[in-house]
Amino acid sequence: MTAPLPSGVSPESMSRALEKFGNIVGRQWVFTEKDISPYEDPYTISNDESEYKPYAAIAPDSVEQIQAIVKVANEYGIPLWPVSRGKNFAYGGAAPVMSGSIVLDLNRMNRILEVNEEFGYALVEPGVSYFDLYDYIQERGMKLWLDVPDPGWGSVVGNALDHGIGYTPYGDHFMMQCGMEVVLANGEVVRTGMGAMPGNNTWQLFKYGFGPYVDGIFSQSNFGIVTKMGIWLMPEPAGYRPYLITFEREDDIEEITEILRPLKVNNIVQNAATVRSLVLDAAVVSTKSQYYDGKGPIPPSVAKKIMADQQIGMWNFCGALYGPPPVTDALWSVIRDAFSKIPGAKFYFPEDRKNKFDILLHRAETMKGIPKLTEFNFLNWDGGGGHVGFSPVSPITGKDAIKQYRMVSNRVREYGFDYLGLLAIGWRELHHVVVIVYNKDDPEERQRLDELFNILVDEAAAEGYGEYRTHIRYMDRIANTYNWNDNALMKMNQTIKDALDPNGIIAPGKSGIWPKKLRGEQS
Amino acid sequence: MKRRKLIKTALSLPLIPYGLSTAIAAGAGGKPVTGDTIFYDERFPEARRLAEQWAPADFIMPVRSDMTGVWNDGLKHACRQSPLTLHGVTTESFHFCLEIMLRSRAAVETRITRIDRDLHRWTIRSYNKPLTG
Repeated sequence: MTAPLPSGVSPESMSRALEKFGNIVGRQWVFTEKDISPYEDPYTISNDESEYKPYAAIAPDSVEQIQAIVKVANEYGIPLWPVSRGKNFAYGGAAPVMSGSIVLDLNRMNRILEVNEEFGYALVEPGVSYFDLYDYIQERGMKLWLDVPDPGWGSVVGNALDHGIGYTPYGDHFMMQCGMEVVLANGEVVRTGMGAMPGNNTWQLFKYGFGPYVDGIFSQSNFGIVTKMGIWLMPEPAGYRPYLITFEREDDIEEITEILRPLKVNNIVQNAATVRSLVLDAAVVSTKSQYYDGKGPIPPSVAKKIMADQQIGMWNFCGALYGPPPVTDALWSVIRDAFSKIPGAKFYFPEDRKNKFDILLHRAETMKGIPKLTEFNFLNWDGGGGHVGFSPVSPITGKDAIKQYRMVSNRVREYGFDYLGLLAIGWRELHHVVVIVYNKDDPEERQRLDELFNILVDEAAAEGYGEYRTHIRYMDRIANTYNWNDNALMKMNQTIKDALDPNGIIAPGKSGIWPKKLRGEQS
Repeated sequence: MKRRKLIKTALSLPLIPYGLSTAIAAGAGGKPVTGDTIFYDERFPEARRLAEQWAPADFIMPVRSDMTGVWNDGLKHACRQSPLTLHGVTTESFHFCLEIMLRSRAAVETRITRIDRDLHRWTIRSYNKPLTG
């Protein structure tokens, strides 16, 4: 079906705007009708086909073109939905929150402007993928490592802006960004931090510049269009040793987490390590039907069979050691001794693994910054092909970990899905990332998933747990859970939105932030 | 209701002349991937059986769910040099990821038929016209 026009935009206005957009970017870079399908949510949850539909997409290749585009968008009141590469598939892909928006596809802005080996940083445009940057570094033999999320096709800029995570010591991507260039809704171009000073040579070296640190307001937001970003890269370490520790019982997650906290806070565990659930790891190397033909979640007997076949546990702590051998040997002895307290814990290095297709062998590459698509194997688990991420944050405590695990896994199984989850260990918190794999072609299953997701958000909020990121469908709901002091934070966000984008042309509804003219309609 | 689906068309697979294509990429074990190559998921006997029905044994290539290796081993360059027609009997992630990767470098047409809970039979054709998305 054709997407509905955005609120307040007449067919004539849209037609004239598209013509002008075509004059700016070239008509071959304006996509409409059947050509917009790549910009739709590949794993849509809604059964209402009119939701989250872009009207068109345009693909500029320069800052100047973006400036011209926002001028036209302001003239005709056209909502733009900027995407760096649009590959954030568990959260909606390139699809907009508000139907009728025009996707501003920045894929063509894929220049790697600088990679500095001495200081360890890159300056890139939004269309640069992890694959692109990795190839660039490898082809030049630079002694630098990336930090990659699971899908290597994602945008380095987009992932950082969406607070994405990776698995090396540089795993908090927004923490590693340094300096950005932003096109504001009025067409003005701003450089943040040291980039605001003409002739300065520390734009990618010092994040804060002088005055308020504003980079954060351009992440997960709709306050501007980021066109360049600096990202710190890790110098290649003198040694690298990935490891896997498996645990036999579901309830072990409490003690695992208690042991992990001091190890992480004291930097004994150096990287953004993960504790992964049985089915998540099993789904990377096998499908459910290879073990179980029944409906609903796998029973315990099947779990035991998978554990034996694949040398994994109910929980699997995947980490890595970085540095010269004397350092990594010392760190490993502390880690091994700490986890040896848990009965049944088993310790593996890659050479200890018996299967050619193995979770540690796969994660060993990811934890050294090699971009891949392997993790998408979990799409095949139950033959449904869809997935969505539910990602609440908690302190690194055993009490919180097991409470969250029980809350979420019980609900997920109650609704007929397997629990595929991981705890990503941050500097002081853990992201509990739950991947719900569902049949994207089954309307009943999508409806069941939608009901489940809403319950998960509400139950988490009732216990004080908030999500760090979400699918476009749940942005309003989750934004509403951050409502302390009569929604003071959202009121501030709305004030900023109204000041920077009075016509509301950039990404209406992103992270629950709506422009003034649409607030009544959306509430 | 028209919904974007991976299963787009019930496909009557075309007969193709085997042995005419030149090697376009190195596949698993150094075996060349050509436009005639049929990928099959080696974990499922049904995938091999269908692949063998489709093409002579020399042209079938065992894979699993992950297409990263095949891509890095040459497909990423080959798809820029000439149009490709690729076939497979695999799980969904293999052809889904392949389609997305190809689409970043070329226009793509995909035909997919579900075989069973795990397997899809598919053909992906790429064209040189550049596309984003």
